[in-house]
Amino acid sequence: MTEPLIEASAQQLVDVDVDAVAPTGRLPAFLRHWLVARLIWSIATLVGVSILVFVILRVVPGNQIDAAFGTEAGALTPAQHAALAHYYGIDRSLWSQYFSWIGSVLTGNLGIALNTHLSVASMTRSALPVTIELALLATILGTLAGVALGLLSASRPNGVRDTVGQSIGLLALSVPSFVLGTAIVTIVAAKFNYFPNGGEYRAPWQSLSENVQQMVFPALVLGIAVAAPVMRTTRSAMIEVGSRDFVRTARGKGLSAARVLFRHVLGNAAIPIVTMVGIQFGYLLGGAVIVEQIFALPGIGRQVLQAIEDREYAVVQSTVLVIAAAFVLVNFLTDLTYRWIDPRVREQ
Amino acid sequence: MSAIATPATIAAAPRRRGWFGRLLQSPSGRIGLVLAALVALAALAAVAHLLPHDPVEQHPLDRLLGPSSRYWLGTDQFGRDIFSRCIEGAKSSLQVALVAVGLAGAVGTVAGIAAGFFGGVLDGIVMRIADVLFAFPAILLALAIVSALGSGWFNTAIAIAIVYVPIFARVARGPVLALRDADFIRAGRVLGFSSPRLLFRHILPNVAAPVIVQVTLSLSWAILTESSLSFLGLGTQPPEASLGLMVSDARALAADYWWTLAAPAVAITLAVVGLNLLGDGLRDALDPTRARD
Repeated sequence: MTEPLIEASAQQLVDVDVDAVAPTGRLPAFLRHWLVARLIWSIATLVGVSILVFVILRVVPGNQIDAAFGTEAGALTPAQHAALAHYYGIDRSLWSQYFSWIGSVLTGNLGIALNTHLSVASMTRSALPVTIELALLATILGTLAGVALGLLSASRPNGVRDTVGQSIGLLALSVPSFVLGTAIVTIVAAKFNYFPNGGEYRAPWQSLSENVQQMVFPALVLGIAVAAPVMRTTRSAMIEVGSRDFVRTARGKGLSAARVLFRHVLGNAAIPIVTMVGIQFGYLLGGAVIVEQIFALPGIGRQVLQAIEDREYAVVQSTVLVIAAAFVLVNFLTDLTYRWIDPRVREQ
Repeated sequence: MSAIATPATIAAAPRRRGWFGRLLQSPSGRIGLVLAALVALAALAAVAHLLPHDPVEQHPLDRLLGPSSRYWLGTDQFGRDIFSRCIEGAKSSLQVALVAVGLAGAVGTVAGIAAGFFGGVLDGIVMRIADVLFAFPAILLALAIVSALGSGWFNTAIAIAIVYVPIFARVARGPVLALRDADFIRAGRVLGFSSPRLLFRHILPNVAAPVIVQVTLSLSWAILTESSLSFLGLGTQPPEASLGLMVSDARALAADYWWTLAAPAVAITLAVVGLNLLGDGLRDALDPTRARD
């Protein structure tokens, strides 16, 4: 399931790129070669990821039978044990288990949760949009705040503004999301009698106002976590680019300060900023697990956590693979964007 | 700026300071050093049992008391002293962080140096493994590993170590790659220096600075990750004190008893801020290109 997904997106990207980068028709050869190499590399990484996920979950003390039967597993007769081992497929060799898992994953079968009898694919289909919405909102909030704060700090390095901006950035980097989330849930809920996680999750197309109410605080908490590294990247990139010769030349030509700032400095500083935003967005796809848990949002991170609690290792295994695949995909897109906006690469 | 230093500029140049002097010069370095020293001191106090109360002793009659001269930061739902639990929790966090970063730093740095120095197949293997480990959001990988290994402080440390190994490998490999073909290494080769001598005498000192900075920053991330995992119930287990668990317990209490949340929250934040500042300060102080600032 994951490979066609990446290939399809890459195909779309090729199409998009043809329009955006080279209106004359074909993609520049160097970008085409890069794209193919990067795609092969991504698929190889995903194969490695799948092996790692498989190995990690095979180290689990005990096995699927103990997980399903708990202490009663001890009461099973050897024959029952063998039958169950056969049923779960754990009597086969590790290689055969791995290949049958990968085989079914590639055909879209991610396995089934033993407790609820729901397929992991259907669970993922309902959980992924929640996480993506949360990650998008947090990335937008965090990028706006981080870039603004970074510009403010960089406008006068080592001045008062810079000190204030850097202090805020450091604090945002250092206050853990679970502390901030807990503080918001307990204190805001009690003082304003407002419970962000009171009801069931509502998608934006079901009820936009309820969805916003549910999303605003978790997106804020994660947005702060995104803003901190974005702020630091923006600040250092702006200071670095601002000291280059071509900026001095632009000023010397008599361009207005705003034009120099936005067109010349920000245009070049955007490259590391976009990379950082992309990395952060990727992290949110799986790293939002704690905030999803605190705010009771049924996202993909919570699906992993719930599966760990229920000892549903098949669910953990496939869900972690899906998240890693999404992460690899986002990193791929980030690289592509980076190459696309970098004027030096574009004009080669 | 100018390539030729006139006698006047030499006379005007301030006395060259060592890296520690430069660290103390920057405000962030100073604050970071003080905060990190405080955390270390707290951990030592916990190890030496120099706490006002036993961190796990329950005082049923003194439940949920506010800060007072007897209980400096108040008590929790079992009447346990929150100040002592914060100190003890800081110790457990630091213990996990030190073991995790120690392991990751040792394994990752050796792998990175070897990959960079010998190149070829070894470099390919190390970097592909790093790529695979980088393909997970850090907290998710730690979560998956802990769920497989089981909770407890040592398994948490192992999980965090695995997550950070590739970071150290990359940090160490970069300078080695850059140095491998540097003139002074080539000169050493021409002079017939052995590989170990080149590696230990000439390359390692240049890798040390970025690795030290990375160790400091990783310690702060490791404390964050440890407390996050404990918060989720997968790290340090009760009744052992842990800052993440204390925040988790405070969820039901903080609305009425603010100190149950405020104390561990401030403790974690101070530790992480301190190590971040120290890392930033060290980066500036150890950077040879800024040595003459």
